[in-house]
Amino acid sequence: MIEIKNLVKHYGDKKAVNGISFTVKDNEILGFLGPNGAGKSTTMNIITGYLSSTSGTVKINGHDILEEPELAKKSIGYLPEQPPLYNDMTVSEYLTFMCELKGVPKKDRKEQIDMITSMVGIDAVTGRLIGNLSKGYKQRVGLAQALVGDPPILILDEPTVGLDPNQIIGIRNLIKELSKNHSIIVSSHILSEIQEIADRVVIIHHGKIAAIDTILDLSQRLSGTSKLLMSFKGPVKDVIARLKMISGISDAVVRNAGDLSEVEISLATKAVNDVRINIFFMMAKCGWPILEFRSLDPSLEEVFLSVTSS
Amino acid sequence: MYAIFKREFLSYFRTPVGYVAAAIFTFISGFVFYSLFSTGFVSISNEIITLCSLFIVIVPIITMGMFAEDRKRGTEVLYYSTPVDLFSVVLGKFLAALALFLVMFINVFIHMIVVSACGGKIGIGAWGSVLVFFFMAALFISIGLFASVITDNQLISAIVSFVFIMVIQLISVIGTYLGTFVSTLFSYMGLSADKRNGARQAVQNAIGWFDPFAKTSDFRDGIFSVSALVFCISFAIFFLYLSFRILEKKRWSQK
Amino acid sequence: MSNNRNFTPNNGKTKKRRNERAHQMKIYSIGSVLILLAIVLLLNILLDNLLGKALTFDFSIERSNSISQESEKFLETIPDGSKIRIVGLFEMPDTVTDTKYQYIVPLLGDYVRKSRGKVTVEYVDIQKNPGVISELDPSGVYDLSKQTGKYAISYNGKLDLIDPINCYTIDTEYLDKYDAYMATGNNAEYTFTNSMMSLVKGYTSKAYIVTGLKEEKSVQLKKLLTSLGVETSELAAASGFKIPDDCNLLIFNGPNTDITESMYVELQAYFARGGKIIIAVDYYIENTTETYKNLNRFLNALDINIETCVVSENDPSYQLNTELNDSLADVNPGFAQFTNEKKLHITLARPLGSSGVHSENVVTTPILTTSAKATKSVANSSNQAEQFGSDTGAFNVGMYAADTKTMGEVFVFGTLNFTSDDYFNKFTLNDRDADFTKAIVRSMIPSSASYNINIPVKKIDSYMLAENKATTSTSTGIMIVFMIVLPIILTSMAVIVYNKRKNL
Repeated sequence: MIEIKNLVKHYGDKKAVNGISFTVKDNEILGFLGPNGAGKSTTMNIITGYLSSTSGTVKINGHDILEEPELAKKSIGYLPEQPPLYNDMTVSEYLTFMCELKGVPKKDRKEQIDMITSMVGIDAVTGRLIGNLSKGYKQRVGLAQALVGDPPILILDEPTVGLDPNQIIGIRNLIKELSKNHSIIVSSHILSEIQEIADRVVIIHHGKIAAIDTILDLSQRLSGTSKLLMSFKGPVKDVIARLKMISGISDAVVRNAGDLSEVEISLATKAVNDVRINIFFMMAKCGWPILEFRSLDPSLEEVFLSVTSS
Repeated sequence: MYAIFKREFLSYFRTPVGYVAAAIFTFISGFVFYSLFSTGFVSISNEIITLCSLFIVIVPIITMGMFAEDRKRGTEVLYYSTPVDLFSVVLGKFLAALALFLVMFINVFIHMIVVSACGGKIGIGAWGSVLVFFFMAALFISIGLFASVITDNQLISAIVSFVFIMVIQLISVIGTYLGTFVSTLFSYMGLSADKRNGARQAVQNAIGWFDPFAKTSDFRDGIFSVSALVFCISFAIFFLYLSFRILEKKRWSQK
Repeated sequence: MSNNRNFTPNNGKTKKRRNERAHQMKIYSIGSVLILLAIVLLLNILLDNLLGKALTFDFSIERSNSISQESEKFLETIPDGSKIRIVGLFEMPDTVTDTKYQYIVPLLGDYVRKSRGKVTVEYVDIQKNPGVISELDPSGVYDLSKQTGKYAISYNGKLDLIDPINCYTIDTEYLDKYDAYMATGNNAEYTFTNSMMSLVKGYTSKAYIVTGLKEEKSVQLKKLLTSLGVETSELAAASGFKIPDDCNLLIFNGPNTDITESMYVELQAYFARGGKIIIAVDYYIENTTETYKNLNRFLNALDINIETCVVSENDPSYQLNTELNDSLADVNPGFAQFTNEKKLHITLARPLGSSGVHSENVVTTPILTTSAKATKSVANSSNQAEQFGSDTGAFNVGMYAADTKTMGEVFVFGTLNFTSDDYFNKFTLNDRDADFTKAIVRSMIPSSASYNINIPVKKIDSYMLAENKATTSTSTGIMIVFMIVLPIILTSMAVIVYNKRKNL
């Protein structure tokens, strides 16, 4: 459980973070979004105690990060943007050091390191020098480091940066797995990733919270309508004219009038029944084959753009 | 603190740095020892005092990367975000460097054994010099550490600690020159020779008071002065605390 | 920028409140550093000044770097506010170990520590700082520019010089064999404490120079005495001639007329109570006919007689500038402790013969003797030297008599080269004769005799290795092991570790 209230951080006259408040519940993944320089990393640094806020409070499981730093920091595993790795150590030396640093009792160390390495998939490289590892492995060692000491809260700053798609999926699944018994804050520039794993999203812009909600609620709040995309073969103008006559469709716009025609169909919010059936029968009746049909919920990209540009 | 100490100390020996430093120290101390031995007279305290003048070279090399490296590779964040006290990080790094000196100093202990085996004498002055060596090392390492905290650039850090240590080595000379300067200044102001001499002496004494070499010079003769050791260690603590405060400043600074 | 600071009053207020935490941290941070600095400085100053002495332990063998109880007691007797200034007339070497200063520099440090500011020690290169010479020795008696390497000890304008090598007892066999000094014992504390002692206590001794006998001027002699810590005063040869009780030394510096009957009586009484006297006369125009009847009455009782003639030195190897009456005279080996010279300079010297009287307890010894080829001459009416008598021989021109019972002592010189301004102005107070005078004054004034502190000689550390073990082959072995083998092992370990870990 992380409670953040009125967080402010000044740099000279500039306010890097300006009055951010939110709460992360137990076993929840919170996505953290914002353009570069929006204050994401600063906020994360404040939560982990790396920086001290100008004002406002951060409570980690009820412990104030400034007043009870040791107790608060014990509950946090932090993976900064640049993983804090010593290139001159092997992975197992490094994780042992992290155990010592976080005060893991000597008898638990081996067990815990074994568990973490297999969990993040680095058990094959424990004897290797960190400096010789690939970027993906380094990122995973960084994640392993955050997991040392079994903290209930994980703060992950861009955890999948520089990983190949397989690794990204691996990490993503791992984060989902971890969220069963951890509260997690993830920041990422890959929005689809957040969309996929986060329960809730915080979008910050110019140091302020621009939006905070679940992904579903956010999408619906932003556009009163949902959309469909249809590819077909047939005369474009006729199709549009006929589509507009079907009840529940408020608008239809041509997207791509090339070899293959695509049309974006806006649906009225009131539409209760599925208009796709009506469309199908209408197209079939006219002898225009439908090649693809998919629903177009507003992506996080769109949400993000619309939130940050306003 | 132990975790930091252990990591820093072992890192000297995970990389060639520790071995190379020890090899250089072994060679130089071996040379000093050999030159004494060949005369048939070996005063270990003499050897140690000679080795003390190596601080100006060894300390900046050992301390220049102490914090700058952390900043470069991003491990600095560990000291702030793990439940470890920042001061014990400083202390751990400091003790690791001191322990490296202890490892290098094994040479001198071997020399002592050789001297005893050859019928020479290890006077009380030799043990006094050993004490002085480590207290001076503590003072200079703390200064080097301070230099590595105030700048991100390793070269600048090395230069700062080099200059700092050099000033300390030359402090009595500086005192003499400043004293003469003050006395000359007073002579233009038309003060009597008595007052001028008094002022010269006062300036000289005041500046010379900070000279750790002068304070500890009697140890080699078997005179152990607690206040000289307290001087070294208390200023070492001061520099460590100052470094700690500067590191801490990063957290709350709004610049 | 100013237009960016258009805060509404409310905004300004919140800004101030928000900055409070950082501001507090700043105050706390700077404050704690300053407080720690103050504590560190205060602690060190306190330790240094209050407990520095108590917390300094001398573990050296025989505490050779600490002053003993005797010296400490002496330091306490130095009046408050007065200062003994010890100046090493050389630049302090970086290391004193294995030099003649090894046992002196730290010992002097201990004098400074235990004297509570009464003793100061400094090291001054007199070539670079010639000003210190005039501070220490304004009259130039000691010619400090030539005393590099020694210690000058100054107290109330009085000065003493100590040669570091004299602070040690020397292995004479070793000196003969290798022509190098090998110290066997450390006398430094004895030497320095006694030197300071005689400077401090020597102030109480007083010399009276008798005037009113058409005598020589004594300006230089007074300087010489002052530098030895002897106060000088004049004593007029008036009718009620009385030698004061505080007189430690009575000097007749070249009287050209005899003393009176009453002075003779007083002189005799003074000697009888253990008085110390220096009498110097010569044979010159003003006194060629003076026989010193009353003075001789006093001296005759001591088997000394001032003759009314001059010694002519005929041995060319004794003559200076082939002058008959300006020559050298042999120093009686019994007075070798007063001078390093074998011969001293005499001019227009009266021979000092024997009176043939042998008093009980009185020991009379010649100090200076001419060559065996000397003759006696007198001046004729035109004041030209004229040989008289035919006897050629060695004549005494300096005599010493002492009463072993009363400890009365008298030095008699037939020449003024040991006392007169004429001589000192020409040859300075660093002349061999002047040094001789200093030595006899020092031997007679009570300071060195009665206040002498006995501090036993201390042993010296020896760092010598056993000769059979410190051979060339062992030292070669040491060179190979410590300068080649071990560094190579360590370097190869560096290479091994680097290569091994590089590929992990």
